[in-house]
Amino acid sequence: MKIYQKLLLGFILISLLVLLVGSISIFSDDQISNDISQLVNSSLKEAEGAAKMNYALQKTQLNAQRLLSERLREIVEPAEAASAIVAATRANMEIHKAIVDFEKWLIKGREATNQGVVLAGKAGEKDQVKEEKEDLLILNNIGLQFTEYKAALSQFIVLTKEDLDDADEWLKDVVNPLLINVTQRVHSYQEDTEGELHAEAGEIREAAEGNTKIMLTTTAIALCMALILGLSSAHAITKPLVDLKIAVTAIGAGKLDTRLVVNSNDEIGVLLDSFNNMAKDIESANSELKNSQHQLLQTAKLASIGEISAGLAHELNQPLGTIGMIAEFATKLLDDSNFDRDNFRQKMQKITTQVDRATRIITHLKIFSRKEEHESEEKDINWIIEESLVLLKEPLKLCDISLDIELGDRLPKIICNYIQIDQVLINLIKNAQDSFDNFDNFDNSYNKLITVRSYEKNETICIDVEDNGSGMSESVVDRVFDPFFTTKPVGKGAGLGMSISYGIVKEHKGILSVTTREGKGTLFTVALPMKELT
Amino acid sequence: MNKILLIDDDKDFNDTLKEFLEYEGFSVICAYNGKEGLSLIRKEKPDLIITDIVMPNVDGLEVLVELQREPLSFPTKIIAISGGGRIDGEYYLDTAEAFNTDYTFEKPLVVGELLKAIRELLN
Repeated sequence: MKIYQKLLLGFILISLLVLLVGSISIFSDDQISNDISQLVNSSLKEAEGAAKMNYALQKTQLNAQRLLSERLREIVEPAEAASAIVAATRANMEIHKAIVDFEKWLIKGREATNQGVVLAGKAGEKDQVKEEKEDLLILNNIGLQFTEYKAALSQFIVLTKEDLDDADEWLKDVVNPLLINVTQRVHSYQEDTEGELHAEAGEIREAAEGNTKIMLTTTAIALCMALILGLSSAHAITKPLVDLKIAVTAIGAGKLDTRLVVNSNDEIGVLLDSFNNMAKDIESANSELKNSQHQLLQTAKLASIGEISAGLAHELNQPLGTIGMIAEFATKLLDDSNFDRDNFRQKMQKITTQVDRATRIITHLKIFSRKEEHESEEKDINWIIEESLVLLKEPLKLCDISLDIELGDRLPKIICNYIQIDQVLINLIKNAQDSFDNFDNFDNSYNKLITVRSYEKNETICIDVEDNGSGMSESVVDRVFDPFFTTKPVGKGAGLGMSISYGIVKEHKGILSVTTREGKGTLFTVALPMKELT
Repeated sequence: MNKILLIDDDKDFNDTLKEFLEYEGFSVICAYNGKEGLSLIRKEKPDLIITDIVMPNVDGLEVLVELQREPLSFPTKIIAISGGGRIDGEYYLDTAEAFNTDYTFEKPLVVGELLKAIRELLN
């Protein structure tokens, strides 16, 4: 899956979570407002009904009293009889109206309660159903009591037309107790409905609190999920990048076999894959480079041998000539009548010495040109210098160059690849020899001279190769260690000797330095660390 | 007895040849470089000079040049020997011949031939 697809999926998931939280809160709010409106519709109606019934009851009592007073006024004060009759009739009407009102509100109360039963039943709230049913019973009871009160009140109205004393007595003894009875019941009903209202308000508050809790919980869950999603996608992106950075540093430090594990086929996976391919290419290019460097070294070695082979032939001719001569001499001695055994043995020993001399040259040549890698070992630097001069003394002699060797006493041995150091010295001395080509010095006392010195300085073993040849110009010195840089004519060197020497000394953790004066000569110094080569 | 001067920087070669020639009945003196050779020539007046061509300091050719420049007051024969190491080694010997050498040889030597030449020159 691509990273942008992963991110897109993450954002869609977060959006869905937000949508879920929103829906839950909207649904809960809707539920609460439904509950409130139902409560208003049912409970408030019940409470209102109770109040209205109470009011109607009071109205009946008030008008009953007034009816009685107006009847009395009609009899006691005949002058006011007419107005008293009107007032009594109005009171009578008011009583009937109040009765009708009471009954109307009673019916409304019953309807509201019935509705409450149905709603609570639908909502599955059993306690609510029970309470509403109890309310219904109370209302029925009030209805029964009110019927009784209404009958008594009708009897009272009839009595006010016949006998006021009886009517007064009936009102006090029958009507009023019945009224009190009904009033008390209505009152308790009123209190009951108010209690229910409080209880339901509490329930709504609880529901609202619960709703808040749900909202907070879902919000918290959504936040956590968003956080986890964000962190995991950030981790998925950054982790491979951090790994990549570490791997790049490792490659830079030369650990070319560094590879990354590719777990995905997204953009980062493609990047890591490319990195691995690049590292592989670098590694193989590096091994090819090492291989060709090795071959170059070998070629340069063989080239040096070619260049010094002229002197070499001369060098070998010497012992061979001597051997031939001694052999002939010895043969003559055999024919001598006075055969001198000791003299003959002496001649044979001389032959052996000369063979050793030739062998030394051949051995050196063989070791020098051998292709396999030599291991580092502990060597005396003076011995290495002497060995490298085996091949060089004759060529120098041929060019009429004097060699001055100043070897330091008791120098500590160094750990090195002596074949390579040998190669460095041969290169440096050959370079010194070439510095006399086309160099004219008209001073009569001038002699071509190469000086080779060994000494100890600042924890290093140094070898100087100094000549009094042509020296180098600044532009030549600057490039003296560059590969393929040469001032020599075609066929006299590929321009590799110095750069290879530089590489070898560097590999030994040493320093190859040069100081030169044009027309005066050049000094190359190889400084090799005395500490063990690691 | 004929006196022979050997000039060669290779001590082993020089000493062996000296012993050999002495065995053959010659009187032999040795010089190990051109400079020493020149002073011995004037001092010892040898009948025959055998000189190497390639040597440090004053080499064989310079000895020949010097003898040419300032001829000796006594008769002497000259044999030049070259290591023949260089491709142009023969060139040295050609040059040597130009300086009135009586014989030239290349190393490695066939001693018999050298002896023959010495006998021829000294008889």
